[in-house]
Amino acid sequence: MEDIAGKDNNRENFESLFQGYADVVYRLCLYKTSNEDVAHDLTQETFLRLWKTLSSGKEVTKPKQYIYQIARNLIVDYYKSDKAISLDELQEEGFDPRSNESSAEIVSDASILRAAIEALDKEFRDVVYMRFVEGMKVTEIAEILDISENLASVRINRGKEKLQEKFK
Amino acid sequence: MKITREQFNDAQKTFSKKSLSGTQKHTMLSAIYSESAEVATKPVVPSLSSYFISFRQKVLAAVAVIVLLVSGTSYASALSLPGDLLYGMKINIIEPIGLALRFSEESKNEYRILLLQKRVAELESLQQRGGIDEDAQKASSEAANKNVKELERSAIFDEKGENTDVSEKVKIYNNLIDAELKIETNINIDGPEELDVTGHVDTKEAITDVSGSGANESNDPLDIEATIEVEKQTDLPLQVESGSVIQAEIPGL
Repeated sequence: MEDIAGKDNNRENFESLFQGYADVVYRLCLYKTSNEDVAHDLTQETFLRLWKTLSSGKEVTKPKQYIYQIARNLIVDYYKSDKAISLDELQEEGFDPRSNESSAEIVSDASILRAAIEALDKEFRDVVYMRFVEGMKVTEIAEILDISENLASVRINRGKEKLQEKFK
Repeated sequence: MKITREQFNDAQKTFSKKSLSGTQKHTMLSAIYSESAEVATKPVVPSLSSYFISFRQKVLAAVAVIVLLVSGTSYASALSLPGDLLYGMKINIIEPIGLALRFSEESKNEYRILLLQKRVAELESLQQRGGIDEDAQKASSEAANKNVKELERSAIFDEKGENTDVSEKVKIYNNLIDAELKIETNINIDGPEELDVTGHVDTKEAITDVSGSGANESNDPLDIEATIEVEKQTDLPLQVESGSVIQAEIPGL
């Protein structure tokens, strides 16, 4: 009975995290890869790993941080693999943004955001993305990145200043 | 690529609204649960490499068991006495291996004489334990006869064509068995392969045969003093296998 209750509890916990973070993970993957299909697959893989962890009975003390870390690792793995194709390569191979207006717009938006944020120093990229693209609170950013709220706040402000300098 | 503030803000507004549809989420959850269930119920089929690792481990384990069994059994058999279950292994496997490890004919003969000496020591051990039964006598005699036959085949004959060295050893052996242990024996050089230690063959005849010349050199068993004298002549170290329960002084051949 305890096992069944535990499994139900794990499932409930997992689905709660999925509903709360599936879109965040999906957008992160889309932002990083500019490919909706890849973003979809990476999101699914992220939550599959989370579910395997939770269903095995392991305790995840910081689930948001854990999810974000899995997603980032998967993105890194994706770029290390031969599957990763840049947007330029897609266009050269016949990718036509006009054939899918929605996708083209998203890919374009992701490219604009990435071009601006990835030009910042590494320490500011994540906090700026989370704060100004995802609209996360300082507390949440600090929790996900496992840094103090104070440091997160400093980095957000410094990153914002750096970003504004880029716009000038 | 130069990005303006307006472009960034527009992109941010559009991008942040991008999300998975309800159907996509439902499909994704179903896929996660089904894939997780497949992994959980998937039978574990070892890969080819793991099979070979497993096979190698099995072979190593089997070899280790065999080595342990053989070495353990060998050790036990080396300590066995006539009439013991492992005595046959000692005589037919362990001692021939020891013989094979000696390369010169001289060292082989020294080892054979040592083995004959051991036969006496074994019987003494049995006697101290409480007695020598018929089976033990027979086993010991067969082993001694085997040693003598090998010794005879490899012995260097003197200019008269007599194998006096072997004869002397056999005489001493017979004397020790007869006089010391009160066991009648018939170990002889030219005798039959199958030995009877139960007293059907006259010891005196055996000793006569040992001489190889047909002359009855001695009808009396050799006394201990003579034995000791021969021991000094042969210069063979007295060796007793470890673990032997012999307490009495082991006569040398």
